[in-house]
Amino acid sequence: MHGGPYGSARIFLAESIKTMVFFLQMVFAGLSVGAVYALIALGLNLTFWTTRVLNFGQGSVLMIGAMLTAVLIGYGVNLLLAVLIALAATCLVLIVTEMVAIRPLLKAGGSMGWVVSTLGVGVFLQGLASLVFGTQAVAFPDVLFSSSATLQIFGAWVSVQYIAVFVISVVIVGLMELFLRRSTWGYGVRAVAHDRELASLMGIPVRKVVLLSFAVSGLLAGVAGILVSQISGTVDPGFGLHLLILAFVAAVVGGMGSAVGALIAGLGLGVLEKLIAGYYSPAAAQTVAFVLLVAVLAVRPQGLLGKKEMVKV
Amino acid sequence: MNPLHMLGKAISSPWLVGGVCIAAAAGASFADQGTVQMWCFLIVNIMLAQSINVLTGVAGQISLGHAGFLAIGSYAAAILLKDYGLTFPVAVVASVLISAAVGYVLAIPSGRVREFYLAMMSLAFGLIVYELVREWRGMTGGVMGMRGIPSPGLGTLEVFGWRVSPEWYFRIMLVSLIGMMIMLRNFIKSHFGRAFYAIHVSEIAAGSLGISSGGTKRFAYALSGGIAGLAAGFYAFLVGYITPESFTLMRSVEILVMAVVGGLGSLVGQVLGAGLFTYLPQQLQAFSDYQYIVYGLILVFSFTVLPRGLAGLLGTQTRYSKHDQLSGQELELDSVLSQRSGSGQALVEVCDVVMSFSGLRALDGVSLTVRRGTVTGLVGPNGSGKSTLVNVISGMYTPTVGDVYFKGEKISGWPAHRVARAGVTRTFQDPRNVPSFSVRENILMGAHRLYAHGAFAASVNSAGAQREEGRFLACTQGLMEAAGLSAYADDPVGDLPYGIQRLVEVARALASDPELLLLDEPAAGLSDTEAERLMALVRMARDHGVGVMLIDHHMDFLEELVDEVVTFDAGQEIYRGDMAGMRNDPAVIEAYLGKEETNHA
Amino acid sequence: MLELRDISVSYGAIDAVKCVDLSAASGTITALIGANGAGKSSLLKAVSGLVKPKAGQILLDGYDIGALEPHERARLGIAHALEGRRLFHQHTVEENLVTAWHFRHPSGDFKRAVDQVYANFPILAERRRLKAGTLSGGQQQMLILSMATLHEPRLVLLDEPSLGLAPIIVSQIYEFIRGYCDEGGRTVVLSEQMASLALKVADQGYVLRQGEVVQSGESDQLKGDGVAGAYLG
Repeated sequence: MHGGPYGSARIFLAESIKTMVFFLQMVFAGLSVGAVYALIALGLNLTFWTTRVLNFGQGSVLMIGAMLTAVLIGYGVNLLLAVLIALAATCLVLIVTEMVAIRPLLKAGGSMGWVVSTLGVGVFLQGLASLVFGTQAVAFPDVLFSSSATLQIFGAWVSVQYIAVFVISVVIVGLMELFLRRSTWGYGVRAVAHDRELASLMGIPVRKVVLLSFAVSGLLAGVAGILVSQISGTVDPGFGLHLLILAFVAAVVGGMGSAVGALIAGLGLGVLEKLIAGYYSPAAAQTVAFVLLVAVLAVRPQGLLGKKEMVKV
Repeated sequence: MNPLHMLGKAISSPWLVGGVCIAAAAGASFADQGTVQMWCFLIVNIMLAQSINVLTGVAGQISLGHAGFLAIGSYAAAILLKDYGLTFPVAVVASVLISAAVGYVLAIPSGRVREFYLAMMSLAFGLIVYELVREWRGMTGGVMGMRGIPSPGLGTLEVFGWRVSPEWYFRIMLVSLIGMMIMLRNFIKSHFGRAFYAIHVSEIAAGSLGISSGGTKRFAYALSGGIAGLAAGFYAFLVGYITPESFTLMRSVEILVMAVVGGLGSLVGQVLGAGLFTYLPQQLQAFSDYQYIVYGLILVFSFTVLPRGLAGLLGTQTRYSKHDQLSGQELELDSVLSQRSGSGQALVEVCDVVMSFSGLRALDGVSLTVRRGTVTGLVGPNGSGKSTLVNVISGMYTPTVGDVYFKGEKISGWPAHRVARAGVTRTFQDPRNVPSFSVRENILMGAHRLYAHGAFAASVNSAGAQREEGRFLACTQGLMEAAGLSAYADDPVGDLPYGIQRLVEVARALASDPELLLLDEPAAGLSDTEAERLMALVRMARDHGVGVMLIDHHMDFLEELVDEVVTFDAGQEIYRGDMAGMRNDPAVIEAYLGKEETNHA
Repeated sequence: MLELRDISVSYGAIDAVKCVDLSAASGTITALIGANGAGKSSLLKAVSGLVKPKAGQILLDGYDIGALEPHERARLGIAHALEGRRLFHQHTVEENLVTAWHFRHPSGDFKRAVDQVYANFPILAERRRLKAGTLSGGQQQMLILSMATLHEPRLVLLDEPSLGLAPIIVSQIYEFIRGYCDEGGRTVVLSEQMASLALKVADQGYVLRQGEVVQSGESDQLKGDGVAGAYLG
């Protein structure tokens, strides 16, 4: 079979196809997970726009959404109901975070306060989850399609779940962008993000807009947590941190003011991460993400699509 | 003094601390190994808390991944001793240097980003060190960790043939801790510590005193790394077996919690925080289950419930001057400022400066000279470019077109701290003092650019360092008297009325012994008495040959002080001369009030 | 229709406004004149609700609005154009107008109101899809004025509307303001550093110095040297 005049050529071709397939599989996995990074980044951006606060506990909120879904389904709760309960919980967590960990600290001034307190929320949730659900990883059930369902794209077998996650994430980001540009609430958020005082003079109830943005950020975090757990297969109390950092890199590289920017950056980052992790190691991938973050912050802090902020004396 | 403060004073008394240390050193021979080991862990935690405090509490650079330093130092020390045969003391020193170097490198990107970007980066740093340590199996043993590290507990640690027992290891650690703490205390109380705190509060104000925020941050990171490296070096041999799981986010959180609860900014507070969180987990059996929950809640509520931590409660916050250590020298009031010669000579020359911000011309071809020993007033309506001019001269902005010369040298394009170091000092529209510093400490900080002694000399209180500090403390005393602030010397500036804060800022500017003084609306909000005192300070400067430029709107105030007044409108000079002429000048009147319609027909 | 009784505003230790009394009748334009730092902006912010006065009362048509949040006062019919040409720079001209209209729940037709704006300022019609930040200073001020008036509020507060603008644009703007007020049932309070400019169009004026009213009266009475004294000492 491997002999004859065309034998070595056939081996070469087979090897090339394998390499190509491997490459493509990494790319598809990267696109899928990258789309989720973009979704998480959008959630971070939303609260940042309205309060200039970055929620360092967002990673744990992702985890709570995924954990609750997995555990409730494990107890036999109807899938849709489980997801709804989990999303309601993440929504509530974000609102409580705003009222307890952010608003009081913004009043006191300075930025160290809310960084530490939102991190505290994250740590608290992690502790709570460990206590209630145990510290071991929990298998995540098949919420979307079956984990064994696959499709062939360009010769590579891709899990349908990956595709579903990609599509859902992109659609949500797109819907959010549409909401922000067209709906009344979107106008409110953009106005508050731009100039809070001016927004209140326009008759915009700033406080309500802020709370609403936190609620939506909670929903996005819950959905993202479920999606990312679906493709990784498990969820454990500590998994939010690494996602938070990567989502943050996506948000910064894409420019903190832009949802589309976050999407492009997220996808790029996801693909880059999977490729490096696949060909080298996961740690190398994280280091590259870190270096990328540092490089962007040093050279072009407003990101690829963001606007420069001038500091007046 | 309330009872808690009395307790605080008692705890931090050198006699008590010394006594406890001697008792512990002696008692180590009699206590059981478990207890001694706990004491060692306590020392490690104290060092880590001090390390993060220098960076986060004093210099204001938040660090959420501090366990990364601990990991780097521990693995470095263990590997150097085990695989490369270095002796224990050298391994510890190497750990200090390596961690300091890592800190220095980390400061380079960290120095330029806003606080929360920095927080995220520090978080990423901790995570990446963890991941690298897990992956790098060849060096670190990977997930399984490094076993068989020589340790006093197992009797396997030897230094030059001498087997180190647990109690002697403790004594070595204790001595190292005491040495480190004494040096750190002196350092914090010197102008270096003040510089660290200054960039925490306001990088811009620090720049105006000659403090380079980039250089200071690198120093803070390196120092913090070094101290963590010291803890790490001891830690590795203490435990004898290290795995990546000792350096997770939880460890970073623990270090942060110790520092925050103890009280960020306070040296004594760190000891208290470390003590609390070393012993509490031991006492409460169930603690480990609830650890994350407790730490999480502490981090959420500590800044609102107890913003200054235990140190705040007990009143043991660190003071940033050696006023209590050095006996005051006496100084002639007149020699607080140097006598500058060459009165009337051109000091600073602004040549055809245009300052443009995306199309808006804040300064439109301005040429100006300020002379030694004169006071020049600068007036004009809102938006006319007065503050912009001060910002250009002081180095905050680089002119779009044109140059600024100071003592014949071109300074346009220099960073603000370099301009300040050359002898140009400015004040701001809102007094930018350090609110938690006393009046004395704020004014003393003004002298920053004049200090000659280095960090090591400051840390050991060398004779030269003491002499220099004594001289500047005396200057500060003189300035406080000149400004009528002596009664407030040790009060925190943030609690004082606005007018006093303004006088403190101006006195601080004078403490830098400037050649050129730029004052931005100093008389705003001042009472008549305070304005009088301000005038006296300005006159004192002028009489010593300092060139003064003064922006203000209070015409009566200016009338008594200025030799010449310049009026600006829309970025250009429209009048130069004396005050009386200005009042009657039609161009000036039009600038303020608008054109009067001449035809009422 | 607007009455301020004994209003004092402080920012920490600084007293920006000290015991000011002011009244403005419906259908009039009131000018607040004074140097930088005299307290004009603080006074306007107290009326629109951006700052809470330390003491005193604010009455709109006899009703004490002191407890209302800024957005509630906006919905009552108070419009405030801040100093420094503040608008939503990243939004287009049209989006700025939408934002200025929608949240106040005004009666009337948005399209008609916008058409009126474009009729008043044709240059805005030309630039309706451009980002507001790209407009010139004068055009931005026209947009800000339009945003402040398109829903026909009964009280319009303008903080230094002429700052940094060419005289010809300034007259256009003042013409518009006078025209708006003459429509009936509306009150305008504007602050200016350029006293003569403001007094030309205003019915009455208040001269402020370091937070206090040093002169007040009908604008004819105020013109002249007395006002200059408040600035130049």
